[in-house]
Amino acid sequence: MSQKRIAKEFGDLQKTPLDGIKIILPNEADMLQWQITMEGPKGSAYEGGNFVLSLSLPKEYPFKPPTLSFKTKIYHPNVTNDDKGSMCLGLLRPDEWKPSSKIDTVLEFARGLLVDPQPDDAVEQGIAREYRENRKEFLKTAKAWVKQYAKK
Amino acid sequence: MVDLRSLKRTTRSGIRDPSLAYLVTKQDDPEALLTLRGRRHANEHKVKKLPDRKKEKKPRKIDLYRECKICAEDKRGLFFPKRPLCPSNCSSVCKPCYQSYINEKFFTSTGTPDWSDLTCLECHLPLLPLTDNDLPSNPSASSIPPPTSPNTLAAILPKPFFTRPSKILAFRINQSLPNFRFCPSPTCTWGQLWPPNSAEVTCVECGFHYCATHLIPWHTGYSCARYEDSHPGAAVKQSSEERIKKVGKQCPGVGCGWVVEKDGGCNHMYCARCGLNWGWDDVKYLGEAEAAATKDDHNGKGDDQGGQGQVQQQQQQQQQQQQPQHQLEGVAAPVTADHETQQQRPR
Repeated sequence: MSQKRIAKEFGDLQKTPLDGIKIILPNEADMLQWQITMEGPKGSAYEGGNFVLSLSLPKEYPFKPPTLSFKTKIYHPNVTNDDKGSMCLGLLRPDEWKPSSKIDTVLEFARGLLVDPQPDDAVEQGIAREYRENRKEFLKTAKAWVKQYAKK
Repeated sequence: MVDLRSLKRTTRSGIRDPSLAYLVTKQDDPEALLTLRGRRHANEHKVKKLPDRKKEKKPRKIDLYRECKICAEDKRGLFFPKRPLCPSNCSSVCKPCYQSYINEKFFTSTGTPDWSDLTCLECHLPLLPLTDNDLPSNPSASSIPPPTSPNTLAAILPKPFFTRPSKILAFRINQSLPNFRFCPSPTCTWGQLWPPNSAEVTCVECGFHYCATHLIPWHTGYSCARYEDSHPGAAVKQSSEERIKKVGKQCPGVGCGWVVEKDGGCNHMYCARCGLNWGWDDVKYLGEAEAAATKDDHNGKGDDQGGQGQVQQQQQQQQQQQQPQHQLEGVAAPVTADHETQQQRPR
């Protein structure tokens, strides 16, 4: 469908990469699957970690939102704690997605979520509760997970 | 400038004009041209003037190439809407993009879609409503009511495109009514309102003649009761009902109760029918919910009245909803995207 738009966005992101975000295409022929390596933002619980994410664009992009999932395990209230690692981004909801939104906005937003988790819009209720009530314990576990799964 | 072939022709016909040859060889020298005789001069004048005139002509707006902000492709002005679609006169999104956008909106929007939900793809303001003149006179098939909202984009969209969404819109409105059923023909994705008293239905879309009770081609010569006598086992139907109970959960929205299957994504569910946000883990599987309801009935201590009422209501709706689900068995499970479950859908 919109091969040109995808190619353009990919080219723009290669030319002016976002801070701490690297993008590659695992399969050169398939522009719809992107692999993203995101550094844990400084000052957050995930500092020092390298997280691999996969971004898959639907054929109907940009009229349908892309989906973003964590391939690296992460202790975060907005990321499901299973093998899928789906991320709950309000921006990516079908009713809130706008065709004019771009992938760099999505990635910035995901990075923002690492700095500031949103426990009110959580998919992992347990982690959200811990984040709200026992921040120390949350930070401890999050850091331990970074060491265990997301070491550089 | 001067065609050499025409020169040849002239010589063959016997008229030898040395100035013609001169013209060809010296055509790039304007000074030499001035020395020619009047007629030749006039001809040369014509030949010379023509390309100039073309250059002076202003290119039309529809011929100019522009980049569409959505698909990022350079397209001729022809592909962009003629009149402004939004109050802020945005003009850098092409018509095909608007068409895809509207198509998507109709398939993924929540609840009953409305033309007035459409926004400009650049400034996100609601699109301008159009006048009655923009509406086609005969929007859809006679058996399907025309769309309720007059705000359409008929003016920017080709006619065949318009007739299809308006049909789909009517379809979606009908879908929310209790006596709406899908056509059981495997090649048809249409559906219609079933008559309350008769089981004999003909699909308005594909013409399939079927029995609304058994969802099979119409049993000519048999009444529904006689057919049931001779075909007691509806094993297939039974097994698919069981599967729905195992994998399906009902949307907890009051008055909704669509059966949903989750095939991926996070637990944040978004009902494509009533627009409710709900958590997958907070809702019981159909089978469990039913068992719990019957257990409560036996013990005589159900939830508070409101809660029980809802369960009963859901059970009724589940019966209504299950029939269309059978069509999907073996064809494709309802697709689940992140945050959203798409249930039975028209094409």
